[in-house]
Amino acid sequence: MDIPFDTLYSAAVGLFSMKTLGLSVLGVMIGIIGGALPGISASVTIALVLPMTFVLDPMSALVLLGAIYMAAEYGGSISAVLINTPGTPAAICTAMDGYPLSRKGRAREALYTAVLGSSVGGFFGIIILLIFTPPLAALSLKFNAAEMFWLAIAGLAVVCNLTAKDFSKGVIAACLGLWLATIGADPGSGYPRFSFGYYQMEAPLPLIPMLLGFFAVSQMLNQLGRAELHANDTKPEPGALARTLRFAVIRPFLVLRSALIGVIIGILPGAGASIASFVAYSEAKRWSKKPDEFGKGNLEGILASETSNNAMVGGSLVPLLAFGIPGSASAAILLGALTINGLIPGPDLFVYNGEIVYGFILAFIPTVIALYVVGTFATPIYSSILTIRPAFVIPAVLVLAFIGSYAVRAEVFDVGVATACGLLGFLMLRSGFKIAPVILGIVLGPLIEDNFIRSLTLAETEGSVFRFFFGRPICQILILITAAMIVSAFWREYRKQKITTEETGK
Amino acid sequence: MNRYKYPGILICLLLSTLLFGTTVVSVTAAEYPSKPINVVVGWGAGGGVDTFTRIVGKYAPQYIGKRFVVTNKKGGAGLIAINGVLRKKADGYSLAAAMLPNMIYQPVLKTEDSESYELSDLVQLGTPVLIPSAFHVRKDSTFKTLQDIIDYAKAHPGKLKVGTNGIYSGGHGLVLMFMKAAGVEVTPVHYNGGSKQIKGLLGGEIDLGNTNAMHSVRKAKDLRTLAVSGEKRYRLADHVPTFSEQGLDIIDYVTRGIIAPKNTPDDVVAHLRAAFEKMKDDPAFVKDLEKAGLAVDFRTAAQMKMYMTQFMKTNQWIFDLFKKEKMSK
Repeated sequence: MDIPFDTLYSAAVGLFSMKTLGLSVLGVMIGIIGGALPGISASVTIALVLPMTFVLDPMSALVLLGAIYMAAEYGGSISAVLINTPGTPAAICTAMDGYPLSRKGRAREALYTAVLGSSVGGFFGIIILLIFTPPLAALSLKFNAAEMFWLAIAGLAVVCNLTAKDFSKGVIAACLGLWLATIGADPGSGYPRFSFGYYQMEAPLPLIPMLLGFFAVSQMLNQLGRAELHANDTKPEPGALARTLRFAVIRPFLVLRSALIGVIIGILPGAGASIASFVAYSEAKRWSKKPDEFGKGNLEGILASETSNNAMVGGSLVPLLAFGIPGSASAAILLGALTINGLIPGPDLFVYNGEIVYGFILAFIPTVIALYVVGTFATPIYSSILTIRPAFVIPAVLVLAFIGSYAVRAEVFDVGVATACGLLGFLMLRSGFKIAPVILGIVLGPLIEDNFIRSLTLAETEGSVFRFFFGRPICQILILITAAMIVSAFWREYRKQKITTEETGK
Repeated sequence: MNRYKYPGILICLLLSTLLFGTTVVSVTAAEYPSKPINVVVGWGAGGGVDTFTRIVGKYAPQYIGKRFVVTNKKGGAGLIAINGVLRKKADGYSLAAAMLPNMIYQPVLKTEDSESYELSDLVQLGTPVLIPSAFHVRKDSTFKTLQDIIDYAKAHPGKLKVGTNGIYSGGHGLVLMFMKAAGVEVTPVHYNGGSKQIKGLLGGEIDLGNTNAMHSVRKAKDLRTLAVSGEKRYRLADHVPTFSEQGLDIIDYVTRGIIAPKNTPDDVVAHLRAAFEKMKDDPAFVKDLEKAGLAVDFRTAAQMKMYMTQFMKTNQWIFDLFKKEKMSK
């Protein structure tokens, strides 16, 4: 499928309205705050704002949510630099070099570098999204039930990537998600499963209340009793802004490599921002002239990690828009936003809703610019965001979460779903489980089951079930990718453990 | 005389209470609707049923008297929305959008322990839209006519893949009607909704698409419709012959209408029914629906009831078969 330049042009013209630009800036501001507050990650922020976008037209809603997604991935680095607590999981690498810098009184320089990396990386990801998604969406027509089944399985294999360190817990969490997805009518027989006679449970549990429960409610319960924070100062540093710009310009390969890593990891279904940062960070260390300075305050580390995790944003939207397979937990929530607005991922999205989709993608360009401007010039406000007492944050977020879960379809039952998922998620967090595998299970479970059952029916008409699942070229490629993902996850974990034992042994 | 005073007051009180009570009742009837009417749609915003309901809502202030407040309660193909409305007060301020044949299949096939609705729980208010179901192929398909499909299916039993919008849905029922009428054996392939089925058809996963005729209008560029299941041709795609023109006796409509819970006061029901009958003659209303691919083909509640009784009688064998299969799995 070619990129339709007339649609692109009219979508671009539509961008230059006060409304769209205003939503971009608003999204950036909300996203930075959400990302900066510890415990509220990009996905929580998007989930909280999503129900409020019902009053907007589809494109405005997507522009706002996209801007939040982009900005929250940067916002995490603020708390990473100033209080050594990554606001989003992806900012762990940023904390490793950013916090030492802020201890030395160079907090602004670290933050300027982070926002520069985020904006450049974000921009790179968007260009990839714009170029690659339409042809991939056209390719998705070639994906029959069996291919979609294997694609969803590949998405599930990412659980290994997320939780290779504690694999059994990851599997348990993913299975919980898969089980939650079975509630409702069995697609193969229409028989209601686990409904216990409640009519609300004869249909699948609603996605957004579950997400709000698992992300927002559980995280807030987990934050109860957290100590108040003391942020390092962000006193003015003359010349820091120009220094960071020069620093990035003379290292084009570092920036490009990190951005590329971010995009590729984003495209892989399910692998999220934290993996992107980790890989980009370790690559930057490997190629650096001063690898010893990493972890003690090297700007290269910040640049690599932030460039990569924002480039991941564009990448994670590629499989989402082309196949309906989210590339990260945040993308899973955006999938909810798409379907609520009647937009079904795939080739039709680009043909029949071209203006909305291209508008959504192109709006990331003003968003990235807004991110750089707001991120650079609002630095003094950051430390005050970080010192907002949990006693104010937690109740506010809980209220928003419950209102949001009710607002989706005005059902009190859905508030119960959010509460139950919140309590369950809290117990899981406290016992060392991760939430992301649960969400992957919930989102991918119906895709896997639906396509598996349809594949069986289709295979019967073609004679061989085995050939239908394993004999088709795209299936074989997907199986190989899945296997490679699983092996590489454990291999990486094995090497990491070996290195740490060697280092401690020294 | 004095001793009559007390009962006299009592009688006065009693009379005034009666009078007051009756006034309240007649006020409700005369003044319905006195506040906006909530209408729930069991499908997503921007979808077919939602678009229909919002168009009706646009004309509601003019014909019904108050505006519609449309809420989307997605889930279980209308199940959440309709059951939700039945648990509200039946005062005419809580209505739901509903469609056939879904509204028949759902209660007939529910499990024994389910608290979901019965068909008799619903009161029809008016059905402005009747769309025939339609069989489509891709534009580049080698099947040019319905006869081509039948010939192929006869020569290759069980090989022809026909889409449905879900197992034991109205579309699945239509496949069974087709198999019986044409005397062929095909394989139904189930999708979660019409858009996904059309995607499967365009991607070559299935040979024959089976959705309502709205897709013949909206997707005219990509699809060739071979037959529609109405008594007459569909007005917005009148180049497509009906099944009966091609020798198969199949009548199956998908409808878009508004329902109220049973026990809604009779005068309220009458008011709403009369309003819908007037609304259908408004040219602007007809035009708005046509823009959404829906041709107005109004049926009154009585006509609808007749159609439904007929439909259930003719297709009892399908319900029996589905029920047996569903419970045995």
